[in-house]
Amino acid sequence: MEQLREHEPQPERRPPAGGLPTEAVADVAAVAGDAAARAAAIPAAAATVTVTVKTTGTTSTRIVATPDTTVGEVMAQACHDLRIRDPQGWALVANGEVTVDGWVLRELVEDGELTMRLVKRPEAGG
Amino acid sequence: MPIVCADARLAAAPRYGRLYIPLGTLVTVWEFLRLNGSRGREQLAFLAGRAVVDGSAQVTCCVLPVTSANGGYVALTSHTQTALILDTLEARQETFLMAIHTHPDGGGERAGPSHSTIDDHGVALTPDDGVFSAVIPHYALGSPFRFPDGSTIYERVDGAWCRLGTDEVDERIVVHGDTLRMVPAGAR
Repeated sequence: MEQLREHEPQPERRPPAGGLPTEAVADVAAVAGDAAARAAAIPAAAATVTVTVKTTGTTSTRIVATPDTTVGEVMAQACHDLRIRDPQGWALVANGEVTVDGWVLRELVEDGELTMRLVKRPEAGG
Repeated sequence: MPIVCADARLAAAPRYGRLYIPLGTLVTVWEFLRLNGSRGREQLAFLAGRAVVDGSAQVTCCVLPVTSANGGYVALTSHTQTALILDTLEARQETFLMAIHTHPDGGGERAGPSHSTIDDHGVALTPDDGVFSAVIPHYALGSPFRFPDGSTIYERVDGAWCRLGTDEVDERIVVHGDTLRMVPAGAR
């Protein structure tokens, strides 16, 4: 909706009082059709997005959330669902990069769906 | 309420009766571990494969990651590397089965090397139960033909690493040759 407002056309100048528009007569049906096509081309904002978070090919959780959901909130839900006992050190990787807790899903999702991998960085020592 | 709903799909935890490891794959991993060992550094690698019909698992490949290591610590260099490894294994329909890492020493009182706290929390590629972890003493500078004897093997059960006894290791961790060569009778 905000995007539509930004692109709202400016009001046309009124013709001088008593005068008549001097523009060429437009085909009303063509103008209406063109406007409808342009409106249809504007993508509607999705009310929810679907995020699949997986650890392996057989263990995953499917989370439906609003686009303003943060990665931190997705992380907390995924760790709960996937029974990650010690969430410290785990990260969500999407589109080949580690995501940050404060990011929101709107910034990551393009077509209403997103797959993320919940991973840790294996280590050993002592 | 940002999260509307969630639906988890959790695979049942496997218990692999046996883990079959091809000798050639083991030797490849061992050389990778030993290379860091010869520089006085620990190293970490993974075995992956598939479950087989009798409840066992067959190792079909080894994963040799990019690591950062010193004499007493080793880690993969990034989370994205873990994701890439898991994406690749999933595409190949393989699954993580065993982590193998080295320790500088042989463990106390001939008991073999043991998991440290860092190992317990960090050594596995995935959080699943049923996977194994092997600790190789002396930076893998010994012979791979002694594996699994001389090493320590753990299995993760209910989120905790359980050390396998010697008999159980002999029974469940099976290293086998890759080649079955037939020769005419009488030939050497």
